[in-house]
Amino acid sequence: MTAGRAPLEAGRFRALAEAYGGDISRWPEAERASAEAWLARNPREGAAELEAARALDDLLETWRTPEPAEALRNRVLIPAPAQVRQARRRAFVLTLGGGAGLAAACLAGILVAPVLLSTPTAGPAPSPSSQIEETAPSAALIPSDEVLAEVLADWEPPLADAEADIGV
Amino acid sequence: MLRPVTDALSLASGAGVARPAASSARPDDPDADLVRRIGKGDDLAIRALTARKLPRLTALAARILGDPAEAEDVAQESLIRAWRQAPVWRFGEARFDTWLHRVAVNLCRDRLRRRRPGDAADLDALVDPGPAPDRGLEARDVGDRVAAAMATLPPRQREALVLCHYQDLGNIEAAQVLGVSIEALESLLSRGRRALRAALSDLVP
Repeated sequence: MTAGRAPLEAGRFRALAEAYGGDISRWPEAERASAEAWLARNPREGAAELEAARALDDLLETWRTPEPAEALRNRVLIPAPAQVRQARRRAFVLTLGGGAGLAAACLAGILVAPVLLSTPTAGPAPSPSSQIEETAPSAALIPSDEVLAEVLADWEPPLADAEADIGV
Repeated sequence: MLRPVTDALSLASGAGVARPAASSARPDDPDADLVRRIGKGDDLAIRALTARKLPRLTALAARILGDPAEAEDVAQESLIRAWRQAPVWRFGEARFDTWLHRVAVNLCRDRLRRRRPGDAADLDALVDPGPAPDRGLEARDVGDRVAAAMATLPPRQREALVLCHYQDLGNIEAAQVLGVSIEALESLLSRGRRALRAALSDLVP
């Protein structure tokens, strides 16, 4: 890539128009000023390049896609609060939520196990390629007392889980 | 050898990708406030982000996949991942919109990989059926031609064009989403535009 401050050559101006189209405001930020300067020095040549690129831009603009339907909006919105709550709890458990979480876990370590086992399995399973987007939880973002209360409120005694598993 | 644009989007990939250079970090994230509020469970922020992103994600996926029903599924899944990500989002490393685009593009790639030969795009369903006040039937016909020409492009060229032209991402963000260098992105764009120009030569002066 051409350095931002270097004078632009005709070939680079053409290459930018061919890649990014005929609107200089959509070109790489670092090269816009040089491109404008080159255009001021070479108005006829520059205008011809931009016009040719703009013709294709205008054509591309004719392809418009439908707006999302209301049903799709609902499919996104309805599960959202539960998904956020679940993510907060999982992050809290994974990071032990700082001191409060650690203390609680020490006092009742077994309480956390059912939550750990059940929380990540809800919802659609992530696809292989999308794993790269997952980033590690940041404990600093999770208000520990509030989430700890949510975790404890959801907790059910392990014995009940064991009984359910064996069909009692 | 050209290195892909490094970014916070791939830090957890285990591929040894470095943290973003200072020049590519985007602390000026226009979605930051909404993401912060969503992370705290704010329902109004969830609605606001949905209104802002759902049309963008649906259009992105529709143009990459060529299938409106699949595009809806991709948009839905992308936003569900956004809800899970908001409470743990690390501000200042990447724009949330860039991350969201990366999620959606990867979901599209998964679906394209699973497709069998012969699965064709429903081009009629892909184009907005109602002509806008300043557009007539002719514009819709041209839109159909553009959609058909885009569908014939190699997937990476199509992705690059969709991200830069239709989604209006900057070159750094688009390269981050695609996991390629800026030079590679430019090459994809140039080749894509050349191919479109050839396919639509009767419409381009």
